[in-house]
Amino acid sequence: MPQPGSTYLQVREVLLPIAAMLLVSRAVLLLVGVLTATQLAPPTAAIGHDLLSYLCRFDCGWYLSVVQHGYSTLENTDQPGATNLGFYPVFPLLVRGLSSLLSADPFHSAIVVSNLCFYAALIYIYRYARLLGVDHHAALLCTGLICVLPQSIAFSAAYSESTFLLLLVVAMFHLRRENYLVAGIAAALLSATRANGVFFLVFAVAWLIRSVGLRGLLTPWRAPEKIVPIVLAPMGLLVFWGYCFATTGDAFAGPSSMYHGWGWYFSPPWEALTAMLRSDNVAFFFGLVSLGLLVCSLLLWRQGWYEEFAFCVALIVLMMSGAVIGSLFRYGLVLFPLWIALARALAPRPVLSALTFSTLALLNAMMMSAWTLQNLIAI
Amino acid sequence: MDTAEPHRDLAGAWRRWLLFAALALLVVGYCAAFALFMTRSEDFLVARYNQRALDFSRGHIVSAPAKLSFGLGEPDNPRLGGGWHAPDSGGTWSQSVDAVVEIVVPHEHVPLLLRVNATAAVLKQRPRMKVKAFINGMPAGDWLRDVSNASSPLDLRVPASAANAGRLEIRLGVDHTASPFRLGAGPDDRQLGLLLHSIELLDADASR
Repeated sequence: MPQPGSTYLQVREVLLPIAAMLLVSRAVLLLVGVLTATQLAPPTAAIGHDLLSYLCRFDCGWYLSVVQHGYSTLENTDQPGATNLGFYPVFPLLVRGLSSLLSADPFHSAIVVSNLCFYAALIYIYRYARLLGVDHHAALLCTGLICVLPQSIAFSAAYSESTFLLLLVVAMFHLRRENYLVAGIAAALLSATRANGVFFLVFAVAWLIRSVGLRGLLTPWRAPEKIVPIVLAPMGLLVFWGYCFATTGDAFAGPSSMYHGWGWYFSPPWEALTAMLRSDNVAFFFGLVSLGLLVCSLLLWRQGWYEEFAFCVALIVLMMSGAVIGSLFRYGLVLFPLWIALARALAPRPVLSALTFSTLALLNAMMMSAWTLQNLIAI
Repeated sequence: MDTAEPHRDLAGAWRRWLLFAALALLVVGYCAAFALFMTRSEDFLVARYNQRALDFSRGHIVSAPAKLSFGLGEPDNPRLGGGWHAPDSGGTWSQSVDAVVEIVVPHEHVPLLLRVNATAAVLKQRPRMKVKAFINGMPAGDWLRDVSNASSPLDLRVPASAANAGRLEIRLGVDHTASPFRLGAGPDDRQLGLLLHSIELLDADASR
């Protein structure tokens, strides 16, 4: 088991296995993509055969439009109301930075940013799991699970998922380590990566209550350093809103675009859940996924990780409140504390671990096929 | 006696209060910015659609009697401003609780009555819907719709001042929108308010 300070062991026992899991899982997913394109795709389907083109589907074009042309109020002709203002700026900014630095084209830069963030996120998740007292094997199992979760291709595509995952785990890790400024900066960037990043506040407030009590929360002047992450967390979101306000006169141009272009609106989560479970189409599976995530979150409670439990439940409820039920698989990917808890529960049971791993990998392959064919289940 | 200790405490306290003041200032800044955003922001897409509808209507002035039809392939769809879904066959559903139609009539027009032929999205689970209409910001009527009268026309008497000005900005408001999918009443997962079929422009004096 790697000890702190033992660099060789860290590399051999942590960094290399995580890199191997990442590379193998990506290679298998790309192979599934190639097989789908060559064997399953209808002859009329316009699927590029460049290997990396499988990493650009659905929202990829929106992110690249922000990288290449900046934000614009222009609507998509096929999707009235849809503009690139619905996509938050941190990921496109990172891609643009790397693209300028290496003089590389934006798409390839986006793939590099996504995969580097994913690798760094997996390492941080391993460290986070260890911080929570999870043993080495369970922590590694968790990173493996994340690599094979259905639709984990989003972590390697030109999407903001891996950036979000990295910033989330960095913010949570450093808050638990009481590095408040680092946690606060990561949290501010998180809310400028996706709007739901602001839900880090739920974790931070729960952590604060647990560490200093409700009285401590209500007397923040006694230890103001502890509230730095809470105060900094909404900054990214507000800065982006300010930018939208200055350029369009609509601070909520992102939500406006999501509402008109993608049909996003909020409704009570119980309505959504019952509607999904009543449905006889793909929405039924989204309902099952929501329930599955809620059940997994109970593992967090059982482990006594109440801050993570509060955070995950808040995000799951938010996901269910959004009226567009597609993308639930993808939104669930970033709830890494769930996967840590699941890995910890599975680690002492090798047969169940193998079974779970294989089932998830199979589902992931199916989702990769759907992603390749641009089937809406993988949106 | 260690005299450095109280100094350290004082420096610590001073720094603590400075940090707290900075954080409090930041929170006040957030609140001010949020208040500004909430009060001054205007949905940029709705503003665009309203302007587009007004521009079209200014180029297509109508006078009573006339009937404006809405729905898939209908010529008057461009008169619809913000708050509408894409046209369906037989009409266009309002998407939000507030939807705008722009009509321009000649100045000094005769007193007008607008007959709005629309169906309210009354579902078994949400059996009543309150509908309100405004013309150029002035109330023009309110109705309660249920299963028995969901498709009854809404008659809007146009104030003389509005008819004289020529521009009629009609706002059709509902107290709620409903998603048939969410309520288990069908596969349509859109939020629906009123299904607007047509608007008839009638001479108010003649229709009395």
